[in-house]
Amino acid sequence: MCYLKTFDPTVPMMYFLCVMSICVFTSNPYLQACSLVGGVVMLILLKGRKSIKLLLMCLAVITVMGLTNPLFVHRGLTELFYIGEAPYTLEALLYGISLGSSIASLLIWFSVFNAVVSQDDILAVFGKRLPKTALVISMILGFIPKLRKQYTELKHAQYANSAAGTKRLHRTAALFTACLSAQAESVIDISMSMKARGYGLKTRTYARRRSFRRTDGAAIGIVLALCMICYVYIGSGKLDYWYYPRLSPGGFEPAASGCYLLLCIMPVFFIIKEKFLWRSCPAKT
Amino acid sequence: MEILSCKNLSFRYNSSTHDTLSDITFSLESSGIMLVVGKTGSGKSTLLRLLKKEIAPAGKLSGSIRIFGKDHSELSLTESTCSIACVSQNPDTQTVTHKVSAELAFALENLGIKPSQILSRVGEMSAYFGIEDIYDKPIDQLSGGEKQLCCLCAATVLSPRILILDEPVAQLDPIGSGKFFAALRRLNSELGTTMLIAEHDPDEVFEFCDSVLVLDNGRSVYYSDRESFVAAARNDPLLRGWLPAQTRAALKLGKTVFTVKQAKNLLEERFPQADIPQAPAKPRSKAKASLKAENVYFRYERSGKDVVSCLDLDVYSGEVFAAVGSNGSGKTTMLKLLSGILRPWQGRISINGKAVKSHASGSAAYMPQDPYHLFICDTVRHELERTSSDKQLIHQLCTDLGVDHLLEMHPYDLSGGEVQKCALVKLLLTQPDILLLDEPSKGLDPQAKAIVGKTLRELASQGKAICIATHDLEFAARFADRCGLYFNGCIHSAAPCKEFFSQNRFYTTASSRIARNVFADVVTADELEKRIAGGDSL
Amino acid sequence: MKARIVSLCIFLLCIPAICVAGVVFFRDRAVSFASTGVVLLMLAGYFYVYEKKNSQAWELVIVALMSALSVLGRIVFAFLPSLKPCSAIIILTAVYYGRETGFMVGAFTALVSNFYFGQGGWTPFQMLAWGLTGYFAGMLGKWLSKNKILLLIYSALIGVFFSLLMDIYTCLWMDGKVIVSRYIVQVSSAARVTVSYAVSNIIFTGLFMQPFGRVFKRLCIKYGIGTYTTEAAASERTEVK
Repeated sequence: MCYLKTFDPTVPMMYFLCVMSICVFTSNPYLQACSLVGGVVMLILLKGRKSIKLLLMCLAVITVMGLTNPLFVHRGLTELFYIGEAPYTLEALLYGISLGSSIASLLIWFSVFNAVVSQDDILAVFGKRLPKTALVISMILGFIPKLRKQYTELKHAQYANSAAGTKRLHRTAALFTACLSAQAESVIDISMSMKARGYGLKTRTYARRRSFRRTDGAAIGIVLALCMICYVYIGSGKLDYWYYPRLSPGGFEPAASGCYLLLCIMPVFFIIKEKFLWRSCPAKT
Repeated sequence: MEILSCKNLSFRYNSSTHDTLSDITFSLESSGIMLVVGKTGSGKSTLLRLLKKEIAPAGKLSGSIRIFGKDHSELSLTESTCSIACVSQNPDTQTVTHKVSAELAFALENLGIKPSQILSRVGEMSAYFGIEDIYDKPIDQLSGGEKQLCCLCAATVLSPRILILDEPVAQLDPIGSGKFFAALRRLNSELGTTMLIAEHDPDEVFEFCDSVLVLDNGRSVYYSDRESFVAAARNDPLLRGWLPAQTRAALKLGKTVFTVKQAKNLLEERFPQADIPQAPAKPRSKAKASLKAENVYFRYERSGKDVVSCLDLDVYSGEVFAAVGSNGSGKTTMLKLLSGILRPWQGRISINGKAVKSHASGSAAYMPQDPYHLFICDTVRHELERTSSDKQLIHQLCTDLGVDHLLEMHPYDLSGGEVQKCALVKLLLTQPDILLLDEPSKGLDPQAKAIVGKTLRELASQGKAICIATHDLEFAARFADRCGLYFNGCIHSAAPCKEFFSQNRFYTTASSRIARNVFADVVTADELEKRIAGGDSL
Repeated sequence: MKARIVSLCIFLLCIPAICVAGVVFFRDRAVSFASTGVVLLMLAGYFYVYEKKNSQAWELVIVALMSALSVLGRIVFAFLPSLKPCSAIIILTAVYYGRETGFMVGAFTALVSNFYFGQGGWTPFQMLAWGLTGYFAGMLGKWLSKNKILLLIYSALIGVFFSLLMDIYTCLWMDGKVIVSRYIVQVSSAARVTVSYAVSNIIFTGLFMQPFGRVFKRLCIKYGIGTYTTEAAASERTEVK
């Protein structure tokens, strides 16, 4: 995890974009399997025991999606049984599982994303291209604790601890608006403080902690290359996979699946490398 | 070299019918420090803002302002931003971003400086001020003093030649303000930064400023260098009010000194015979405590540290009790516990013998640190009428405390002293036996402090039990009957006020430190002056 | 102006490109690919315009304050299940400060509140939905600020619109395309949520309408902040005198 942090925040963002853009939209079961495997491995490596809850949830999603899809869709030739008039088909079942696993892998990958990419990373990526947007986000993040503190203080000052039902709603709303009117008084002071420090004089820049290095470029290059290979295969139609009316026989392309699997488990390499580095690290006493 | 000067400066706000500032003249040498004193509303802030072009208020300006030998209309905005920096009173309304690091870089980012340069400038700055340990922290986790230091760094990161400070320590405790002033003195002595400091409680600035400008009602009452100011103050009680305790004491003896050390030596020289300490005040009659806390424990989170632990406290009716202690020690938490807003997990708090179950018991009223929080309606009258339907009572209390002319105002338009009084009216409407006040003197000018203090004394004489938490030792010494040091979760050594301050060696008022070996029981500046006058006539 | 042209180009060139790419690469799930792409592009275009615009310092502070407030609202009113004040706050801000501010407050609310509640594929959709909530309110601001009933009706409708848009998102992720039958099932199963959106919008708009109006008016009269009916404020000022 820490080793992943040594990259410019653009690298993980670009990486997740590439992985997710394929795993969510493809209906090729082999690619889906790759992304699920990669995502699960990453999640367990990063979060350990905390990941169990999410994994169980994903399992539930896949099961539910798989079992319910044939209730809506009646295509497919392999009829398992009939519910009323409508057939319950194997193809629809498998298609449901495929849908479920693409949702599951999205959930898993976003969980990994949230574990790897922090608030500051998002700000840094925004800040590079959109310094003003980054500034506003930073201001919002500054305002939230201020407002929260204000709310607690107001609540205490007004003795508004306990109440229930609509009375509580009214009280909370009154305190909430009081929060706004108190903070609104500071709007002019804050904007003055901004102007005093030269806001609006020139085009803003953004102070990034680190510059973009050659390794970052290389990492992005590898990620993009692997991603492009997959896209070329997808575009050429060799990975087309259909469930209806019958499961398609082909769709398995070792090169493409290999590339995608490699893409999905690439960070695992860094996580393991870090573990080895620490094992032989002189800093360890 | 003259760096900044104003000549016959007058200013009128667009919406106003009278001049906010009139006929102000002063000039400031390079690396000089000028102190601007005056009551709240005397035009200090307006004057300071006029000097910085980007934040100058809109209105009619006459007279001239010259900065770096140029008329200020010729100064470009960029020049003004880079060479004049500004720090104002409240750190919470100056910080813009969510992290210290972002805050420090803010000014440089605005000027479009390259990221690599920004980082080196910011790094330099935080190393110089020694704030590396808070560099990566979110701003809301800092203490008030750290926040203000962060604001100072953020303002000076452009290496300005002039620094404008508008009551920079009004919201800080003594420790925080000490650190802040140390940073200022360092900037001045090592970098030669010119400074303009507006203060209504100028004790600490007086030690190192060069010249003094006194404003009253927008007019400059007095302007000269520090030594002549002290000389002039000898005959002018109005000016004397702005002097710190040590200077006032020495002035009575005909000398001009600025530090406690000098005043102490001077006094001991002049009165070689030490005053025999009086017998400690007779112990209090065993009256029943009006507010009683026994063995109270409290913490915010289950696994957290006890913020209040094994607290014992008695407050009697008819007295003002002051809990003194530094910020963040948990004084506020203690008051909230006593008022029933928070519940202790262990121990008993009782009012007139009845245990406090929740705030609904209503006989204890709590005034928060920021009294504006008591007002959520749009006018003061509205708020008071929401609290109580007894119009007679409202009218009577308002006349008693002298706030009836403020009733139609928006609470946020009131000044600090006015809002304190209105807040007191609101608390008294519930007819409490006990008043719990958190930092009632914070951010007030001396006049307002005196008025609030007198009001408290009057309330106490009416039989209310009053408990205040404060870091303002001077205020506690002047108006409290008993004091206690709040430290590490409980109150230590509660004692009658005089005894408390004359026994404390470090945590005590300046006057007590000066007079300790001569007049053992003196704790306030007024008393000290009286005793010196009395001692001289003997 | 230049920014507007650039963003227009983005719309005219990139949106068809995205659609074509979707069809070429992901035959089966072209719709979901294209819609996600379009949503992202719209956001990108809007943010680009915002970035290039010269805003006053107070405009940024207002956007930040109101977004922070509506994020806080999600936390403070958590004791009411499924009632969220965010839309109401966004609508009121937009009515008083115009459509651009409204859009930004909406988009930032979604983005930043997901810092706390977890980012997901729904983030861009939420950003757009809330952004549009504010944008339309700002467009209709002239009428909405005068007529309270209209404001309440608008907030109820926009609640339904928001819910329907998020249902589309759900369907897209589930099927990769909008199957009408599935969408209907989704909409009807989410009917409770839709109603709760509309109801909470009405409740909170009703609750906040007057106090927020007073605060904004005060800002305008005392500090000259905001475009909110300058003439009205000026006339009131003279009345006070």
